[in-house]
Amino acid sequence: MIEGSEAREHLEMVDRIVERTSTRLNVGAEYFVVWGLASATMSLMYQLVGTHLLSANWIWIAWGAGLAAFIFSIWRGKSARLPRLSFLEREFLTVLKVAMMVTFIVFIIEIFGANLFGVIGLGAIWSFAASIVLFYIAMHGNRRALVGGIILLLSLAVANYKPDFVGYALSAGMFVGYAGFGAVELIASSRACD
Amino acid sequence: MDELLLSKIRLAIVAELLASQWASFSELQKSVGTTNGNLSAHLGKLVENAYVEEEKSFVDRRPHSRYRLTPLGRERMIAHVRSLQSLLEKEPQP
Repeated sequence: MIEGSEAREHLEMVDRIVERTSTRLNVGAEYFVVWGLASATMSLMYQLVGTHLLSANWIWIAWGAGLAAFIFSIWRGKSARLPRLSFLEREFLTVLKVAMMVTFIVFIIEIFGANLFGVIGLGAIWSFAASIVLFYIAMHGNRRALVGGIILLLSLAVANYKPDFVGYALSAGMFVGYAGFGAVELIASSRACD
Repeated sequence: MDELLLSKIRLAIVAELLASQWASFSELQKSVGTTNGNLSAHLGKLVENAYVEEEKSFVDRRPHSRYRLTPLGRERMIAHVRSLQSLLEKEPQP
């Protein structure tokens, strides 16, 4: 059997471990950088091509950026060493998957010509979904994510009130709010390792 | 009270796995803070009693073991913690 003092000691140890392991939220900062840059490039290219500042062939750069981000995600996912995920990280991945899935479904609808939102509209939906992802991270104590999410929402507001600059606004939002958040996280984690 | 979880090291291992999906041997060793042999022996008992599931694979041509809690292990851990709490409730307050 076990004595009262020993039982208390065991319970305190369990509490400490559970508190440490269940409140950890390490987001893959490099994904934010890569997807932020790819999304910013896509919106920018659609704006430039749409306003005839660039020829239609340049649109391949947008598709190339998306494909590169997709390939990077697969490669990074495979090369990452068996991650030890906390509850919070699993929840975060679910939020991220739902956000990406919604955007992907809209993308598929667009491909089949339903033209519900238009390509730039798709960019706006992705920005909104991305802001939800950042706000989720922010809810767990990350102020940088809060700033990133607000920047994305501001870019949506600007895009709404300045229709001629929709692509520029969304691109800037993704570049600063999403890729910027990832870059700052990477810098912060490398400093923490020093 | 769960006899298997009366050991502090085994209790720490199960607590570590409670909030994780998978944990590697080295991660557990770092968290629990014990020797290779000791951890291996305790993990062996937990695996043997189906509290913990073990998966062996090769990562960069090196053997790699990872562990996760089974539904039985989770159930036993929760029951054990409740037993510890009720024992403390029965204890006279200092």
